[in-house]
Amino acid sequence: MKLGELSQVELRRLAANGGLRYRSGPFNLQLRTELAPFLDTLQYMYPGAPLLDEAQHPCHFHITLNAVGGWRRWLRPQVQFWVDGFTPFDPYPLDQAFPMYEWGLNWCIGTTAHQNLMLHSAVVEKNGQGLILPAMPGSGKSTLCAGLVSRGWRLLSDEFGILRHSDGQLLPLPRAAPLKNASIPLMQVFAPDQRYGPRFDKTRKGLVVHLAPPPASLADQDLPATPRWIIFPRYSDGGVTQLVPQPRALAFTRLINNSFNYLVTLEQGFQSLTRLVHHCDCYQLENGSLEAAIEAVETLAEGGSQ
Amino acid sequence: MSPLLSVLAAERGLQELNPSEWDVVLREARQSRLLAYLYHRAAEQGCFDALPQAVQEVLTGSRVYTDHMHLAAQNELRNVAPLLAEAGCPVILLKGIAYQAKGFPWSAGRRLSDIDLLVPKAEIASIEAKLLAADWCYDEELSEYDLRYYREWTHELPPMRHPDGFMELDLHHNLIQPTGRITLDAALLFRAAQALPDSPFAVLSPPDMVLHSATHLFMSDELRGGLRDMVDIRDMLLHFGAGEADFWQRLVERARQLDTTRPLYYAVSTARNLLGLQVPDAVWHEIKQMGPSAPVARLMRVLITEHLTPMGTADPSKSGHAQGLSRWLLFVRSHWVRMPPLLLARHLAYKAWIRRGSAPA
Repeated sequence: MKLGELSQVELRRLAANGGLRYRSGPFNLQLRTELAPFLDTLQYMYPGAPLLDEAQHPCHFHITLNAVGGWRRWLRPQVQFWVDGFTPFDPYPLDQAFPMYEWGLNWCIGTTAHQNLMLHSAVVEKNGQGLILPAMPGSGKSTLCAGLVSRGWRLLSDEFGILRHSDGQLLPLPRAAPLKNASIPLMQVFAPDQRYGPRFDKTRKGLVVHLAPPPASLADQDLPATPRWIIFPRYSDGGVTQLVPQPRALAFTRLINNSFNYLVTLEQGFQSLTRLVHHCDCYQLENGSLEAAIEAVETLAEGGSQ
Repeated sequence: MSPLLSVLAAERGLQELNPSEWDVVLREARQSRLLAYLYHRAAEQGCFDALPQAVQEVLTGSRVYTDHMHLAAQNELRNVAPLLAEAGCPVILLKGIAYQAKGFPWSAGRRLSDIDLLVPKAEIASIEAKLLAADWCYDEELSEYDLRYYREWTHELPPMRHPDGFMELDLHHNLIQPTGRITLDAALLFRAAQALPDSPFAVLSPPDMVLHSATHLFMSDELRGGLRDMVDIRDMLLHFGAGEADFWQRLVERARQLDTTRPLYYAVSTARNLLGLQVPDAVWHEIKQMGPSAPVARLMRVLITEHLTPMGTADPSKSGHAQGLSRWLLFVRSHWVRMPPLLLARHLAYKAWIRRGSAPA
């Protein structure tokens, strides 16, 4: 059964009793909450997420998201995030429960899921071949990722390049992608058919609107991809678009700094990262417009898959 | 009963847990910092590959992180070793870093976040000066009051950190706060310490190691360290008890000599009650005499059990008042044993004033 198939009443009952369990990429999640508007948004963003049976699937993360009690709730209602009884963050305004959940879950994954090597990268796939877009300051990887996804690439993740040590495969984690500030109207014009979540004004990262993972990406979330290209995007307004080959050694060192847990994973991390750059063509993508950047990537992909 | 406690007490093997019990155990073990500990127990029991996939992943993730911390601690210790060797005095490794140096079985998978060292009180100022000269520094967030509190009233310096390092360094000159009702002659610890081969460092003797962990846990605020430290103590007692015929007798005598009979009582009785430790009858009879009067012992047993039991599947956003009350009672007690009443009153008044002052509007 899928998250989207639950009636509103059933969803709220499950979530309030701590019985809402679903799979997101390689992770089993248990979510407890009494926040009805938040649940509506969750269901709207992930209708295709498979529900899990408690008797079969222990969860990687157990998250509670509820309003903060006490007298302050009347003055300034707030929401708090618990993972296994801890509260790693200060509370958020109550109406920002969904962004808090998404960022909180990222934090849980980034700080504990060291069974894999994790890159801070977007990952998309076409014809079974994975493209890694590492996040560098000012790179515009989220915009390029969203653009490629709207042109039919499969979304693996907007945030996490999860590399399985045993076989070097990329594990999908298709989640809502938080578009920020200027990239919101850009994407809404560029890809009007995609599903967008509610507006969250004045979050810690400014105005945020989430782009829902496409249904097909969510349906294939158990299907890993083979890494084929690593492209470091760099956006400069109106600049010339060109793909510049990048030496593997340079890509390797840039990815070390891009990784959430390269230092933590010690020798395994080194092995996985060297294997990754050996199997990938690496480029820097200077780009001045989204359309031109997508065209450059698609041309490369067509050449590469022949 | 908490399923984590039942596997820690070895009432059940890890392969006997079904997936929904694992779901509770993962939560409880993460709360108690025992995930990587379970990884190693599952490997020992030969059942790791048979565990549900999500369990294998969660335990592995924690094991990887713990291995990284162990390596970071070793590096940090190696970096600071020449500087400490220069001081020319004995330096004793305490707690996690000591268990690691000795390769004790409970060290595998044990989280450690700082390096605890014991040095003679007469040398601590010169070692501090050497560290400061080598760019080690105090946490900038500590107030003047905090810094003075550490120096005047505790048995350690404020935690220090090197800008290039991952780990905090805690320099101690005693195992317990010198202002408390229990006083401990640190010279006795140095006399019994065991040198480590090929290293400028030493570790406490086995009985002292147990007594240190017991005093640390049962004299701290709110039993800080909690279930994980209790598991350390249980494993130490098992390991040393099995290794040396006269260990228990030496432990009991040493507790009397170091004036730490009460913490030993709490440590051993809790290890028996919660973690299934078997203690030879004659020894337990003797240790039982070290406890408080029967009604107090009963109350303490309830409070300690309440406090060390992981909260399992309870909704954390609606945490009950029971644990709050037990926490408060244990907090008052920990300060009572550590400080004379007047100093305690002054400290608590200051802390209460600080808390009011910093409470958000």
